[in-house]
Amino acid sequence: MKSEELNTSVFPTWCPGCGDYGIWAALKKALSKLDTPIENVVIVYGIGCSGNMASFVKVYGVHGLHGRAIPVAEGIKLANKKLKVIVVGGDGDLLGEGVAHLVAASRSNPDITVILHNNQIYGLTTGQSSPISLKGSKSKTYPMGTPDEPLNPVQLALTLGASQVMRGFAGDIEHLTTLISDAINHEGFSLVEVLQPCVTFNKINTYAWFRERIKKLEQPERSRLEALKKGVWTNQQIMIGEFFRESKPVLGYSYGVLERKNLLELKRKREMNKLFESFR
Amino acid sequence: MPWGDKTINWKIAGAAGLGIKSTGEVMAKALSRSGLYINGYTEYPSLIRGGHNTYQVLASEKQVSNPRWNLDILVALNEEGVVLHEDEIDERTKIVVDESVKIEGNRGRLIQVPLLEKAKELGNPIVQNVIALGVSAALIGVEISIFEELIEEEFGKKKELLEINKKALRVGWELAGEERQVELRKRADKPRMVMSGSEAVAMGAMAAGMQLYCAYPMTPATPVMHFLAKYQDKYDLVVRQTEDEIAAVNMAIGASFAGVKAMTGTSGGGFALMQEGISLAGMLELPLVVMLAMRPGPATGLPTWSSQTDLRFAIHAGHGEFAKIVLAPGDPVEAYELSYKAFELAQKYQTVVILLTDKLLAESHYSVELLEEKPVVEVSNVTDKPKKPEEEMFHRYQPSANGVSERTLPGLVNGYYVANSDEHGPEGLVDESAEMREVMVRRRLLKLKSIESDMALPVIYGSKETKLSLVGFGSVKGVALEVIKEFNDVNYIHFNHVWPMPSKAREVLEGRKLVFLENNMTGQLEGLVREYLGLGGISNIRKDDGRPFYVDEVVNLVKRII
Repeated sequence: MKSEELNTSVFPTWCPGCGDYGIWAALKKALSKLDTPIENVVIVYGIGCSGNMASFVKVYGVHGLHGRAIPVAEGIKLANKKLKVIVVGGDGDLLGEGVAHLVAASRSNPDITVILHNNQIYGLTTGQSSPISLKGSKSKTYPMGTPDEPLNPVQLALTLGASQVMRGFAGDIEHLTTLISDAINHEGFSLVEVLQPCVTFNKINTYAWFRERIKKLEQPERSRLEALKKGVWTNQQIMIGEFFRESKPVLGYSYGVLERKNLLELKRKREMNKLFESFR
Repeated sequence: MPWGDKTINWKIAGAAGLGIKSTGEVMAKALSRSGLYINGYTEYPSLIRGGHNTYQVLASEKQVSNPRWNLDILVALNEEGVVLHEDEIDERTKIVVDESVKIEGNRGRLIQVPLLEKAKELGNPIVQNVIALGVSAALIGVEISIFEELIEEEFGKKKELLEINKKALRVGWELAGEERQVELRKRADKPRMVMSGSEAVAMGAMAAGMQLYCAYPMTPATPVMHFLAKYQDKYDLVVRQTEDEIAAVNMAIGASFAGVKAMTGTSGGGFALMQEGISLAGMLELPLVVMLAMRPGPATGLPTWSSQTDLRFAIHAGHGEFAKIVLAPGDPVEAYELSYKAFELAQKYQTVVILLTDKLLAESHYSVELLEEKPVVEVSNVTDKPKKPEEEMFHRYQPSANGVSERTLPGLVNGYYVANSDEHGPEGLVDESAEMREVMVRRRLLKLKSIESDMALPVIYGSKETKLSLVGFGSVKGVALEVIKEFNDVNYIHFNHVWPMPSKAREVLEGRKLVFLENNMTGQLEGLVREYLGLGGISNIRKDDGRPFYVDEVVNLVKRII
């Protein structure tokens, strides 16, 4: 399948030059070369500029609530383990309102892929600080500088036990396509943080700014600790690529019934009478 | 002995951690197996150890559905156990208490026995509750083998525990001495089920073929999750304890999108957190069953007590306007039936169904005739033949005569659509035009009209022609049925399908003198009846102190109104 075949009738409404175009292109490319049939792919979107992608990709989709895409995705995957389930959300979405779900999913290892659009700003609500904005950076809500330390999603996921942790750049579609494909194929929870310049509201972290600092990892680190060190942001260097990967039991396997069968196909009649009798 | 009027009201009271609840449940089952109808009611503060716990069993040869106030037997495992229940004691009350406890000035008849000493002799002070059970068995006059059998079921293969508990039961039986009731109630030929509202809700969902229950623990909703978790492997379903209620509702929605029958359950505060998710299910038009087990609010309120204060909250759940359904069972049979029906309606109308219970129903035990098995509810309105495969995407939100449109499940070629929380066109792609908004919002609300035809009318209990009619919803049914036994000319009109309120309910209520009986202070049902049926009451009886209505209390108020 060609990636253009995944376009809907709606052309993206993002600002010209937005990093979301790069992620959109990489995601479609990754999907088009996937072994899984396209009807078995579901994308769950959060709210924000990233979430608006819901109307631009022709696969099964759920455009959910701000911050709540991950539990929806988990529910879909629990229901039908044949599906490939992908979450598309922004830094405000997944690290602001929804951070509890990112934390929980990193720990429980559902077989889903989370693509986190990181533009360090709230775009759709027109330029407020995000949980990932650099400390001191100025915004509409903090004109004198953001007072909070920024979150680092790669490091957060690593410390919580996420089984695959990556970072890509919206300005390098080819590299990002590989990362997203690997993440979808990985059995377990994958986080792909994507550095995504907001050309309208973030005048600091531009394409040029990132290009000066980005360096690619050759291969994943052997330990979480090493990966944590590589995940750090400095003003000189930001690493992209796959930081860490680990094979471990996927959420659902602890349930005997899910190991044996697919929840969706469990439709047999429930023999209740014996249970009723036990109440006498 | 109180067998003269064929009822017995027994209560065990003591510190938390002494096994009050489990002892009470054994008593409830034993009396049921001896052929009596029972009602078991428990009170406990929001603590794990310390604090005062009670369990009381009302048993009778006729159906009983609500706790009564005056006790026949009070088993007190400490001094507080007597002092705090002074008001429930009269001259007939037998008070079983340890000989070391000093009690003065009460009106009942003390039966002081060496509970603790004997328990220590048996090697475990905890079994004083079973000794007390043995004393109670003798006082009530129930065959001891029934109790022995229950203890065997409880401890099963734990041989040591089983032996010590059986001995304790015998010791208690002997301690009753001359107080023993000579005429024994023997085993019933066909005992009824003893069931809590929570168990009934869980089994209704199981019967419907629920595949996923996701929730975050919250009293008094949690027993449903415990029950389902215990049976999940055997009955092929999955229970997921999520990080919070927000995750629970969203996860259930995700599973529903994929074609699985999913449910979540919580109480007030957790339900507050779920609002946005409930609204999402309304917009995506996905089947979702939510149990709301009410407790007194606002905020954390009285965590382990009961009320009916969230009827309006349930009806208005979620922002924006969309069709939703609220069912409020009044006893375990209704809980089982309506829990099942919730799944049917959720599928039929692709929307949220809220099952409204409360702590009184959720955690009390009732006598129930054997329930009936049911066929699994089918996932409906799903097509595997998309009508317009040549089109770009499937028209999942295609306008229809009753507002319900066919959907596809992921995995189907050409069935692609977006379940979109933003306003959308037929295929789920975003559309903010005034025209599309108008079409879609009307379509979603159109369902309400069809749903109304599935809403059962309120049921009249008691005689049709009366001076006065009590009106209530949900668990208030229990006390109402007890109250009308005391009058020839009072009946009870029971709402368990509360939303959308069927307009024909007007015909049931019209021309009667209505007295609304509610466990809340603002008359939430009364208000809805006024608003949607245009009928008012001549009076109302309201209570929201966390405790159930007691029969005498309501009887006295009704007498004043008459």
